[in-house]
Amino acid sequence: MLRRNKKHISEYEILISAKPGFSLPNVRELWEYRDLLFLFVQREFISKYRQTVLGPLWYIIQPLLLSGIFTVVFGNIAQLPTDGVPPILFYLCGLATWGYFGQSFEGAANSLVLNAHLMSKVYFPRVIAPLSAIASKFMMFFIQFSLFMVCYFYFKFFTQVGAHLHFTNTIFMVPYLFLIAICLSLGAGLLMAAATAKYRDLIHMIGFMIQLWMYATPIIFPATEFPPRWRFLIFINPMATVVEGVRLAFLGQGYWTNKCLFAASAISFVVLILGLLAFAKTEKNFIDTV
Amino acid sequence: MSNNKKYVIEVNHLSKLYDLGIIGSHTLRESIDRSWQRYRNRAVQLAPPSPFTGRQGPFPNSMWALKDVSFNVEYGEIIGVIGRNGCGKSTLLKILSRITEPTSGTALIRGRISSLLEVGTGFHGELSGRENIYLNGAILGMRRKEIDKHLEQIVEFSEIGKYIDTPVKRYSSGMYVRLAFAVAAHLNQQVLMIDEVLAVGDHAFQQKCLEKTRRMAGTGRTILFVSHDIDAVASLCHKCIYMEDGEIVEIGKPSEVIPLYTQAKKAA
Ligand SMILES: Nc1ncnc2c1ncn2[C@@H]1O[C@H](COP(=O)(O)OP(=O)(O)O)[C@@H](O)[C@H]1O
Ligand SMILES: [Mg+2]
Repeated sequence: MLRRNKKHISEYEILISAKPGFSLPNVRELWEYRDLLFLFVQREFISKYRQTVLGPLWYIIQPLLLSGIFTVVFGNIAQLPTDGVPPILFYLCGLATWGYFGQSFEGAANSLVLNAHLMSKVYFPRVIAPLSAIASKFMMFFIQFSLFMVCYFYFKFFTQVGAHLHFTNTIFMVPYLFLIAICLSLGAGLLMAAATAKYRDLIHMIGFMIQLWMYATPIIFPATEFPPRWRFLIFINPMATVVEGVRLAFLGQGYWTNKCLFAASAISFVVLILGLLAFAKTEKNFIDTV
Repeated sequence: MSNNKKYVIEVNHLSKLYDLGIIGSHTLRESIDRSWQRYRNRAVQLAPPSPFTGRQGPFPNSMWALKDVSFNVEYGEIIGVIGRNGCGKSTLLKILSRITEPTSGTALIRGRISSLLEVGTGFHGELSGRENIYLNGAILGMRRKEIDKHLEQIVEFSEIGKYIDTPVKRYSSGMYVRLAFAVAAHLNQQVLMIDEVLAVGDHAFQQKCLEKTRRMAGTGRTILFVSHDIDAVASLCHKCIYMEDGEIVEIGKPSEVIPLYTQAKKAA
């Protein structure tokens, strides 16, 4: 006989209905799914490293190559100034910071389409997918930033320009700057994920967008190259504040005002909220059109 | 039916409307047209499906995959859902699993749900069997600690043996299915949705899975079970739901409902 006793029925209730309007993620539920987040990150690592020969080494080669190219093209040929910092250091610092942002943005933007199959078979808070995409880029950032540090100490102690290189107090702001970068990459990535779910061909635009965005960010040039009157235009992009701030912190050169910091914080926050709302709206039925 | 009786699953007038023309990508222009149409037809869309128009939805090119479905499931019951292809069985399970939202109606589920709409959901070829057990388990809603606790049993049930640390891309399809089922068989959620997944794997293993399903129900699990295997439904289920064209035709004892379905199938 079945034990149809009322007290065996769980207290946990799930109500399913059409929910019009906008909503934000349920933090408590996300916390319940933290193991899945961790396993998604692990999946990303393992699948990446078991398949490539060079593995994490690639993370070192790529920024080095790019910085080398930048040094030749923008430093030597175009003669763009680098605030008196050795060009390679200048570029590496910007690229490591930007690299984390760009990769996170791309990962979050692709997360819906890449996990569509999974999402059509099982429920989990959908935002776990972009969150894990962003979390899995920490390792890459760590490696690239270490590379920058190694170069930094080389220049500091073995070259003449070393005397001008010094950390500044802005270093205490670096964690906050990364928080801005994370919020912005998540927010922009979620917006893009929602857009690609609807218009699948936008997925080909993501790489191009990252490229354009990078050139709009002061990575190959210092923001001070821009006339003061127009400088604010660059700083509409919160990543400009982040990159300049990180350079000021580690290289002693960078443009930094409280106004920029405030604008960057506000803009990233707004983008994050918009991204979360758009994503929540999309995730409800996006499986129907896969 | 008394009101104070608590069901594990309560489904009330659940409906799902699908747009037929929009699978895959579409242009901005189409999308704007559609939104405009939607906006103008809001009143139509909010109205419940009409009993007279069959599956045809309120817009051209739309259909009710599920139409005004209501039923209740008691604690510990195994419910079989049968019906021809396209009658809306998977849609029902997807809504109850929170994979997609209903267009109207509600469902209340008391307990944690796990849905098996496919074997080995989220298995990754590069990961080892062991790693996939954890990933798949987490995807199906298990906590890491719970998987730790059941790991030995899962490995044993799967009969994978020493291949447990081999990447699953090197598994034979049989091994793959066995491992996937082994994880599913050790889920501990109170409510389980199974969609025709038992149709794969060899006969002996299928029997083992059916047996396991029966025992899971005996421990107070409530199961919603879609299958084409009428014998399995007859032997496993306490109750049976027969659906046609997105609507429920009959709910009742398998011995009474199954003949309706087999007759309808013969007539067609
Ligand atoms: N994503 C979708 N978009 C449009 N139509 C769909 C979609 N999914 C299912 N359908 C349609 O809904 C109906 C019910 O499908 P389904 O629930 O999968 O049936 P069953 O599982 O009973 O075979 C079918 O006619 C199918 O073509
Ligand atoms: Mg089906």
